[in-house]
Amino acid sequence: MALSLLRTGTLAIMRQTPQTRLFAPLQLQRCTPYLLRLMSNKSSDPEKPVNVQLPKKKSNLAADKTPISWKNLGISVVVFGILLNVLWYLKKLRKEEIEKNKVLSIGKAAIGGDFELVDTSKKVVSNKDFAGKWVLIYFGFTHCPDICPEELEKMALVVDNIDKERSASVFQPLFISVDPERDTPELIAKYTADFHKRLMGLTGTVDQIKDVCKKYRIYYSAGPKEDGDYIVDHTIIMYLLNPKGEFQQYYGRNKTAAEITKDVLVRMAMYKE
Amino acid sequence: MAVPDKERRQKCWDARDAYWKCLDDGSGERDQREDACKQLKQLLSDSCPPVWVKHFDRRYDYLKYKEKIEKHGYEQPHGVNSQM
Repeated sequence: MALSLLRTGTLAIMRQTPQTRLFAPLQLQRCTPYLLRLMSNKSSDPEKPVNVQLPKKKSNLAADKTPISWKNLGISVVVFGILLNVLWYLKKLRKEEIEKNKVLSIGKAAIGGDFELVDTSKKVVSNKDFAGKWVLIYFGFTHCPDICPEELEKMALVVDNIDKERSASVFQPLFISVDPERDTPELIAKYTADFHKRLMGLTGTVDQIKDVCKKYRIYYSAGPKEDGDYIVDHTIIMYLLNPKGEFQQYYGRNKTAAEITKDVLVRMAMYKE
Repeated sequence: MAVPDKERRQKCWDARDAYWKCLDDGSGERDQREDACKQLKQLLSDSCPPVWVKHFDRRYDYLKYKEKIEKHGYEQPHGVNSQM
């Protein structure tokens, strides 16, 4: 009921004022030439073209204003659409940025922490001793058959590469044992010397190793013993800590020495106190 | 068992690689190939700690299995319903 009233109302207005055609549907717009012709029949000079016979004001309204307004309306719709899209996109970007920061802050809090271990001269060493230095840590054990030596050789290459670019005083490679029962400071000293003279080896009591591995999310588990010998299954990973001792990055077995070097150097260059 | 030093480790790895290559190059079933590479297996046992030899044997099987899956895809073991 209300709709039909509205419709007839619109048509009535249309007949009275041509301007309202702006808002009329396109189909009604097509009636305009017919209406104009009807009006032109009453004029005195039938020779002249239809639109010229109309009063100038009306002609302007019919021929100029209407098409421009449709164009304007079209442009407005497009611009409005673009603006909406841009707004929506900006909102999405902001949301993503917030999500990203959330993940980063979670990562920061989850890996790392204070530790106290023993170095190869049986001196107690804690994370505070590495303050101001970038630290690259590998967790392993000296009786390791294949993976640890491969990873430590890779680490030795990284140390050589970084020492070429940076002072040795800002970068410290570490080896932390996951086999505290067998890996004595003497054994570790001999072992790390095989790989790099700058590689510092750390071990500790069973509890100390348990604590550091828990904080750095390192899984380790000694396999079955055979004549006292066994293999320790453990997480294969390298960690990079910044001069504040905070976790910066991890490098899995798939990363090459060149890739690790590049990443460490970039992080050193980008680091702000 | 003392920890193998760098030299001993390299000797052990060389023996491992030679034995693995022999297994790869051999023909016939696994048993036959292992039999044909017996001498190299002995060299491996002489060059490495016993737990390392066991570890390498397991690792060889693992690497072969991994290779098979990568090449031919995973096959459902018998008795497992493939229609989930």
